[in-house]
Amino acid sequence: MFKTDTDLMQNTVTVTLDGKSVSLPSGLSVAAALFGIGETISRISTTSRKPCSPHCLMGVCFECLMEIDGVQRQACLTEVRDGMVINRYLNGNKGEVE
Amino acid sequence: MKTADSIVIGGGLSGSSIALGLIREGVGKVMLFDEQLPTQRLSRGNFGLTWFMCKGASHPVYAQWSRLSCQQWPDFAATLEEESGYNIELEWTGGAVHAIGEEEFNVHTQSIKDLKAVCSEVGLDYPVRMLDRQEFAELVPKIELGPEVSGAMYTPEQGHVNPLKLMAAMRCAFQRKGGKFVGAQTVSGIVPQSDGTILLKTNSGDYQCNKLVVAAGHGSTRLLAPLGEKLHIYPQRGQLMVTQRHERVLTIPMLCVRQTPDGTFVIGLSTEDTAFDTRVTASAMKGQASNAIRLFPMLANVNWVRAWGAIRVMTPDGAPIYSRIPGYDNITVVALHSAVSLAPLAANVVAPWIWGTGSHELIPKFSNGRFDV
Amino acid sequence: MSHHDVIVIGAGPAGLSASACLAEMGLNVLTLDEQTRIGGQIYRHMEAASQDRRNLLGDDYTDGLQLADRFRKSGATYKSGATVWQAEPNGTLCFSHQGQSEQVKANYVIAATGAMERPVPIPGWTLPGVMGAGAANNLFKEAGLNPSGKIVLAGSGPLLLLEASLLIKKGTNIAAILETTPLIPPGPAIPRAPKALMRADFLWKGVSMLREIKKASIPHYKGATQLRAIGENRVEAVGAMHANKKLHIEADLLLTHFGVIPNTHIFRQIGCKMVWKADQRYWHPLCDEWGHTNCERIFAAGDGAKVSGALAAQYKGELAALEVAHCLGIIPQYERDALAEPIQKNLKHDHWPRPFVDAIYAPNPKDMSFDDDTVVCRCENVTVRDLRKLVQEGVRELNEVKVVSRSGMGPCQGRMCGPALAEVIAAELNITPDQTGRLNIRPPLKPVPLKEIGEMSLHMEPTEGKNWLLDKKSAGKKGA
Repeated sequence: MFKTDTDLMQNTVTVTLDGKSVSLPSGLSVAAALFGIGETISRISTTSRKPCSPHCLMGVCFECLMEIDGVQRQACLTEVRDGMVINRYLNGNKGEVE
Repeated sequence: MKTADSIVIGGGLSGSSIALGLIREGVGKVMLFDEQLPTQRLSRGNFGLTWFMCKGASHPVYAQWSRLSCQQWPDFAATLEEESGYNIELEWTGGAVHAIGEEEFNVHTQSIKDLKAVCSEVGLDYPVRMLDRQEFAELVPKIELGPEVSGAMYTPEQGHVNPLKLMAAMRCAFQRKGGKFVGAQTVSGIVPQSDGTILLKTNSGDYQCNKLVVAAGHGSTRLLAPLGEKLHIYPQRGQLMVTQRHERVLTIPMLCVRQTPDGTFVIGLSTEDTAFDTRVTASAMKGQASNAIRLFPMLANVNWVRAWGAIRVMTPDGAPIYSRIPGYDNITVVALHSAVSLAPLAANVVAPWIWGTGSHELIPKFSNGRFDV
Repeated sequence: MSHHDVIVIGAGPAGLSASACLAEMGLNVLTLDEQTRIGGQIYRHMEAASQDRRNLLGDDYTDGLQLADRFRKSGATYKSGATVWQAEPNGTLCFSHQGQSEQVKANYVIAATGAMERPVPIPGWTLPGVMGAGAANNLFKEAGLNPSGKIVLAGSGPLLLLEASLLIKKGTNIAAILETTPLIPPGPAIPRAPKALMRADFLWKGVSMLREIKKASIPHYKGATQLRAIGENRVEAVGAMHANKKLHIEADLLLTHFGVIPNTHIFRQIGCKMVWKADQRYWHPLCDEWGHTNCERIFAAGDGAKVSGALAAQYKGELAALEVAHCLGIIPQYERDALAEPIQKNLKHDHWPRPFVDAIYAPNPKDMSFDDDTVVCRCENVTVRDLRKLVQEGVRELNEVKVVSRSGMGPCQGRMCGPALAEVIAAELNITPDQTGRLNIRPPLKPVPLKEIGEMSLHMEPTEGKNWLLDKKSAGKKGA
């Protein structure tokens, strides 16, 4: 969906994404960083059961909600940090996390 | 001039349950008027408990009334779901009130004894027992108890429901059975006629009916004043909080925390004298949040998503008002809080009494006049 | 410190200029912004932008740098990633920052919370691959990310075309532009044209944007209707009707834009009086020419007060600051007026083309005729059909709609569905959207973990809980 025009991965941080260790470009929001590595799905909607993707990128739509360090946050308003633990529950295993 | 056999003013939980009861009685043409003001809607602030536990400690009749209603809840829900097609999410999973520390544990234990005595006076049992921490933990295996929780009082014979769906379901069932719901309707005056009928002046013209029910919450006071009846209700604010959805871990409703079938936690419920101020205060939120976390520590990382304040219709003794207006036998006022718990009785017992096709020995105890001593 | 002279909410152009102006006068200013960097939307990440990016985005972007510099030097206390979640008319507010919540108080609050892209439901708008044109713009400013694959832009408004021309400048292939704006400008636009002509620079920008688009030979449809995003788990194509023909354009990304509307949540939560701007179909707080709302301690500045663009936001921020300083007794009225005069002149000059542009791109209720299957409340998955059924069942007012359908109860608290809810209900009842009411906005404005609430520090009035005379006496004794 998006490609980069600068070398995004010049400076990176290491996070745990859905249980796997992943490098993300530093200095960006979690939402932008995930787009940067080609991850466009943010969660599965608890109401429609369909995949969600960030829509407004400015903190209004809440499509980018994900569990970041144990608390559900808007990924577009949270800057990536080394050691961050991000869970999107794309298999729906956690059930009702919004 | 529009006419009906019966008109109910107020389409909240009380009014809707009465209207449903009336139409089920086959009273003829029934209309339900609802103003739908954005703020003064107590029905939107109900916690959703269908309980008898802890009610009526100093008021045996209220204890009896609550228990009776609770016993009718499962059948009421089943019938309503059939009539409306709505799933009102009744879970008959019991209910508990927790204790922090030893002193509270003892206070609760005593209160169970007290209520057992009160209930036996009127020939009722009170199936509540005190659980110690271990027993309580076994009751809620999927959620951890806070370290200070010493136990809980518990009964299996009650539950919780979705109050908003309940209101919608009752209104839907009412209409499906031929009742007429009129929204955005403001009644400006009740004018009893010499022929015994009642004329209502509204923003959409005049209406006439044979029997009138005033169930307009705090709006009832101004409607009844010209008839010479002072309604003994006063405003009491309650604030509650709702969280994000979470995996289902709690099925038994607590007095101050419950988890709904769709996964949100509802936390409440305060009691404050603030007149008609429905705002939400940081201090109340802080108190409720820390209490909830003390009970279930996992709530610490769950997001609070919205809150609201609602103004209870409170009476001096906390029990409902079901009262015929002196001098106007065909006008009845219904004013109460806990209209969720009492919905079955409103539909099954109060409505027939209003229409004159039924009665119950306890109803006279809930007259507005009882406060005039 | 939990008591400030002024708290400014938002670090976009309005918030930055208001903060700078007041801090320069020596006032205790706390600037709270939920974003991680200053600049709001238009100047997003400006301080970190490379020279190449600055060149590409041009003056409209780099204009912000002067403002940033002024803000940094002014001495305002700035907290980034600070989310205000409750505000009261008396200037008390609660915010969350770095995992902790606190309650603070200010003599005056300037809410410069900006605007958002107007959310217009179309079939399929919840599919991954459908996002706002502004969202794509944000991703570029923040991360240098560019759309790839087959890209379609759809909607209406100057920002749609601006985004198109920016993408073209970056060499991005655009498959099609679908404008819902009619080919022939609506009547009200014509009398507003002469004033717009007074701003030749503005018009030139518009004309050159259109030329770039034409030069790039992008299929550009005007007067498109029945826009829809088609796909199963992501967007695969965009459909529309144009000149009585059905369009079906393959797409990997659909960027939509239907104009900009103020973010009103904070004002509604405070209880400020709101006004319906009928021609632009949005609510905004009632304010005077200084941005003073009907609540004595609450000011509104920038696009959050009314949508007028970045420069206007900057000017309005400064004007609000001057009036706050005047209200605080820092500057007398004649000085306020003298300082305000050049700003008001600039504001007027900046404003000239706006009525014309607004009229051309005025939202047309006909564009908002929705299919039954269209999702209106994204969070709770409530469709137009569900809403129409409720109106049949007697529901008349938006809060009742919310209570029965759960629309507006999800995480976004009605930000994305509020406007469309009003349009759908109004259309069913044959009334105007403002007559359907407004969703009650309650705290928290954004979700906050319960732990933070349970542990938050509450603001205490300086004299609360203390007896100054006895405390002083006992302090004296201790010293002895």
